[in-house]
Amino acid sequence: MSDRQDTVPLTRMFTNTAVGVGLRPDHYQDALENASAVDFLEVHSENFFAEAGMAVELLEEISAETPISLHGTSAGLGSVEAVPDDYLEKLRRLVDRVDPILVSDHLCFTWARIGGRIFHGGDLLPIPYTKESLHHAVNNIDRLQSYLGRQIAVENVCAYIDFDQGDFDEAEFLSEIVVRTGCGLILDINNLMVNARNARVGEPESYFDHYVRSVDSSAILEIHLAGSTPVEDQDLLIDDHACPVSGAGWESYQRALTEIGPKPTLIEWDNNLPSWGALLGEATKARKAQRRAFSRRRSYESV
Amino acid sequence: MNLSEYQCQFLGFLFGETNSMQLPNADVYRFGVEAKAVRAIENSYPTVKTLLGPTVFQGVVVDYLRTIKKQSGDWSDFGWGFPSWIISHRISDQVPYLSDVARLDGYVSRAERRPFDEVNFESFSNIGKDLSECTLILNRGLELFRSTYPIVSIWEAHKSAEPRDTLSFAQAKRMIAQGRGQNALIYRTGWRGMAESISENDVAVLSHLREQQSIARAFAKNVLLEKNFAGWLQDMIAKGVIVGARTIH
Repeated sequence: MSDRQDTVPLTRMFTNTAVGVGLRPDHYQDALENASAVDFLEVHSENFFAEAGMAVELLEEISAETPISLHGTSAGLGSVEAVPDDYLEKLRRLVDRVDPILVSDHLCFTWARIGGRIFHGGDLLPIPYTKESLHHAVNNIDRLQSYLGRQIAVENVCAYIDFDQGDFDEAEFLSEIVVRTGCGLILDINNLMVNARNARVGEPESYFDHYVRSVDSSAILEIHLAGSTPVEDQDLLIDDHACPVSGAGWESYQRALTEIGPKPTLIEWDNNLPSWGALLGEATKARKAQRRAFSRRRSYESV
Repeated sequence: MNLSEYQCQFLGFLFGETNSMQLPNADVYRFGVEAKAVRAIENSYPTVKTLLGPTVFQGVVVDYLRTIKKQSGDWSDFGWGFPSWIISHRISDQVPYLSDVARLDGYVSRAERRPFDEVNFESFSNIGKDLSECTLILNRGLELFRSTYPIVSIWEAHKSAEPRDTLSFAQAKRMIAQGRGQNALIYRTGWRGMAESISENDVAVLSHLREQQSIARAFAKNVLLEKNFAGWLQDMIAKGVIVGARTIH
């Protein structure tokens, strides 16, 4: 495992109070015409891995005016297998094209071998928080950061599987990763709330607050907000990003901001997409929540 | 079970190699991956989906996912082998032209994701009097495809919400009854992939040009007689199929 690295600083910066939205194909035209309404746009990296074509060319055009946060869903940083070269090469090509303010992916696995051949699981698959998982996650994060020559951020995922055994809780695991690789973190508030709800945590608010306090706040480079949907027959909440942020989500966000201070914030909405205007409305709610949290934080500080 | 075994077994479960995963809620992931696979194949093969209808299409895609699995991190890469695979699927007994339609769909969607060269108008001054000393440059982003089925008409008809009401549908039906096929030229207009039916002569000419044969050789004598070369060239340049000319020695 590596020691903490001095990674290359971000080439473009965004302010701590920046609010961005996810850019999905239905909104390409809106983003071209009205991207200045947001501080940054987030895209799923793999959707822009093509050599050319509309998506790639549009993103290049948009990135000239609006900062882009590249959020991967496929690196599988927690895989025992090393992230394949082919994947890294495509990601680096995209990074070179759009000069993103942040490159990130998730704390999960996706690559594994079946019959000796390596395959991709196509989803954010959960890992147990063991020393063995830590070893592989650190290796893959190191590999990605070295390949790109820059720091990446790692997001806590929504996990529908609860492992009986582990050497760390999630916050401890992420903190270890930060110490050993120098990577940043993305705090996904919805994932945290969904996990608490699905695990039937007795006091979800305390669980959430403890988690937020446990991670190194200086490592948090972005906060993610999204909606989730209950699946009745399985009594589960699914993190499908298909609806607005819930009231509880906004409250948790405000509490997190009060605890850790201002952080760039992303509204994620991937399915059942609303109009561009409605999406920007969610961004406005985030700005209002920031203002409320900071005024509260300032009053605490003055006391 | 160690970490490596867990990860391998989980992927095996996602791809239907085993139905027993000892972890509760593992099904959530399997359903999620299957839904993503359906969406990915639907994006690359829209005509196939329209031809089969959503339920049958979903079943075929899940069969594909379980057989081929997912090999890259990019969902838009998923399904590159779908047209060849589907030949051996039982659904092709009912829809024998399905593989060719899938191939055309695949070419069209790939054209949209590939570099498409700009026309270099100045280079056409290289065309001199001796056509055996110059050749035309084809766009690297185009595809040619011969089928024993009227694939372009089928493809065209199924872009409509009501395929049966289109002229292309009637033409496809007539051609199938007559056992006639079509040759497809796939290119890009702006960002959109396009397919059009072209003659056997055009396929021959474009194939020769792709092999960098001279204009004189590509346009065999009888073809030149049939064609208005200048008009043909203008049309091909307008579509971005031919992007330049150069001398050869």
